[in-house]
Amino acid sequence: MDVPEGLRYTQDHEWVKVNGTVGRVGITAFAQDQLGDIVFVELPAVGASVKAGAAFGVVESVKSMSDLNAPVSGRVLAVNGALADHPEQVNKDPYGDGWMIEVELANAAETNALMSAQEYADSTKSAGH
Amino acid sequence: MTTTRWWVVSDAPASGREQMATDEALLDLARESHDVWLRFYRFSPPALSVGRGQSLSGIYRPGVAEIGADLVRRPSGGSAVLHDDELTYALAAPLGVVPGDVTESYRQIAEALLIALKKLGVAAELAGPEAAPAGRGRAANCFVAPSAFELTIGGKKAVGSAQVRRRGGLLQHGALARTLDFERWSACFSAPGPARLGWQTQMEARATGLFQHWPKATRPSDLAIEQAVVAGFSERFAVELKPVSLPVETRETARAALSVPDRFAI
Repeated sequence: MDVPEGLRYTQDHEWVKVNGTVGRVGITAFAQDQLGDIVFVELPAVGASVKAGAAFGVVESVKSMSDLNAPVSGRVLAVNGALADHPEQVNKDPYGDGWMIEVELANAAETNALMSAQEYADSTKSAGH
Repeated sequence: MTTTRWWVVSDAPASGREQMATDEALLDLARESHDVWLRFYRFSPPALSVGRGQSLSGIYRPGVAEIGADLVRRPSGGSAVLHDDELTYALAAPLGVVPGDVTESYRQIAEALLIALKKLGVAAELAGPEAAPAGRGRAANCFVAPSAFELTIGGKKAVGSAQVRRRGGLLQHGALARTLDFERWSACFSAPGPARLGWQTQMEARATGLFQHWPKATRPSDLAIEQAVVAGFSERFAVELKPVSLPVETRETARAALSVPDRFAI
């Protein structure tokens, strides 16, 4: 399963890519594989606040709604609006066109508590997958 | 490591909003208690529940009012279900109890329900993964939308299911419809006329109630259905389910959610 280096990962299978004071957030290849075909994505509005560990949106796949949990806290600077009409982008390119939100980091140190690519890859293997 | 306990709650009829608020509180309860909660209930008045991510463009609101039903938003996914001559179940469980991906969890729960239906004398079958349609289109009506690991009778969809997953827990809703009244269902999706008749024809071809053609006097009671479903879960998951009342705190959580006026409303 694809786990790019340079990103930080949560136990709930979200990733964050930090660029300066901004973090781009999405879900991992493992997550989209477990969910199946994604048919609906609900994301917060630009300007909303998200909190590390708390839900910031939902995705729907196979008649199942799943929470998206924020890896970092901060204000939402941008939302991937293309997902409203093309939620399949999350399945096709979870680290690229399937990104979800960009957050102005409230506390950059929060990313230290997240997993590295290697740690995340190990955690998905130990989960039996 | 504590052992997961399984509890059964035979609950009172209530409105769609009340039932959805209670189910959401039930999911919190399962996540916090690490136990499994199986709740049975009915909708009073009948309600058309719409999936959390479903657009209302396919719903005909005057038709819903015409048949005396409420319109309510479920926390779970999927398409609209008319809860009418139906016993509803909600299963709230820690994710580890029903492991695997989303599709796999549907399979495990459907296997329990299949055992239950056999006990009730219903010749149901479990559709395979090939039942899921290609593409991402969503039918407005749950019972004309085939899915993987669905329970069917004579090839027709017989049980509707949908899930919501929050950190560490899942809630599955299931509609155990005794009978489906295709006229009433069709009214929810279209104005009177050819389109409504089209819905009716489509439903007759693709969906059925569990006891659709059984003489009324022979259809099992709610209690008999509950007992069979409990036995099905007990057998499939090799557990004992104990009857219990819903904790007062869970009722309070549900009541608090309902104090937000548009919560679950449409």
